Amino acid sequence: MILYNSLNLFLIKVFTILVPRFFHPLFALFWGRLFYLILPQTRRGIRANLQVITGQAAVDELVRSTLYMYARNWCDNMLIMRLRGPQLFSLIARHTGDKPLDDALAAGHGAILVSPHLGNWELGGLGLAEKGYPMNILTFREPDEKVNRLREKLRRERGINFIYVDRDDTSPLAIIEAVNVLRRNQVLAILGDRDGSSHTIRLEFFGRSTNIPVGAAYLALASGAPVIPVFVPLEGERYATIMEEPIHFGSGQSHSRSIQEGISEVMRVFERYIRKYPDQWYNLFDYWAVDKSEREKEATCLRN
Amino acid sequence: MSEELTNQVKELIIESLRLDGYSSSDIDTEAPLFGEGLGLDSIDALQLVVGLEKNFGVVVPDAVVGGQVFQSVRTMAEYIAEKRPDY
Repeated sequence: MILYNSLNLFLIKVFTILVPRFFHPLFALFWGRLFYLILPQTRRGIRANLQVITGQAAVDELVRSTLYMYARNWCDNMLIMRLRGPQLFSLIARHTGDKPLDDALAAGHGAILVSPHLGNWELGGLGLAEKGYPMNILTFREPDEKVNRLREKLRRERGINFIYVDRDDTSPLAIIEAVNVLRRNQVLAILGDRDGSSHTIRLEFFGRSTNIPVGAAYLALASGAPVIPVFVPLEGERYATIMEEPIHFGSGQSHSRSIQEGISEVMRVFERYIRKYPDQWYNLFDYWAVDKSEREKEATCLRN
Repeated sequence: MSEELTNQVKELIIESLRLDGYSSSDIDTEAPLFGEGLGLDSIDALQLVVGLEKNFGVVVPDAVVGGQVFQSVRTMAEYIAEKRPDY
């Protein structure tokens, strides 16, 4: 999104320094409504997604709410950069516990945390690092290098390691690093709902055949690490940190079947939380548009 | 480095990546594995890392070594020969 650049992040950071968090909702309401008015393509994309998620045609209130929540999310993202220890944890009101992660690390094969683009996943990663978990983030490099440097500074200060995946690079380096952190019994965090790589399979997601990335599944099979779905939604004024039951891959099934069934299970958990917090799913574009055009191409090929 | 080991590496690539219809003679020993050449990608690399461990007991410890090992069939075979002189 064009808003995601270093200048905007700097301005939000200054705002969060000058203005107490108590007043952030007013700011978010203003910017959320402004985005709703001046970004028609974004508005249409969010509307299309919410119509699929909710099954309803009239979702404009949720569209406005999504943009409001997104603005709040960015304020909190810039705020948590300066918070450590008890101050950071004061933003979390509900916590389901870390037992799935502790159990996975006790088994000695590492753990893969997967989240959709829902809520404040940055806070989740920072919180776990603050507790001393050995965190590694598998992520795409942002086009604005200043944003990359900002993210790196924030995470390195907390001992979080970065593994960059380049969208256009076919080099094997990142994936080798990723599997090795699991072999060192560390934690690997991935965002798992957006097709950004060449490795996807078509699965049902909200009743639509969708290209779903399967990197987490391959890493799970290679390392023996379980995949643990995690979520950090905003509930009222503070966050919930939720860790779901682990999903194990490769229990005696064929390779491709194990990938298909395991990732389908992850998607069912994602659906449950996205339905519960539809205005915190931050895919601000028509998520299924690419699939639509692919389906049309396939249908044309079949007709011809 | 023996020709037998080179062929074993090619078999590993065919088996790990499920390159149906390929035989050892279809894979050029010197061709780059990634990008141009065989055109493998990062998930394929993961499969090869697992295959190297499973079939040869050889570990690729980090990304830097991985970048050197996975240049071609020849570099893979050289790495195995270095780590496992019995091959």
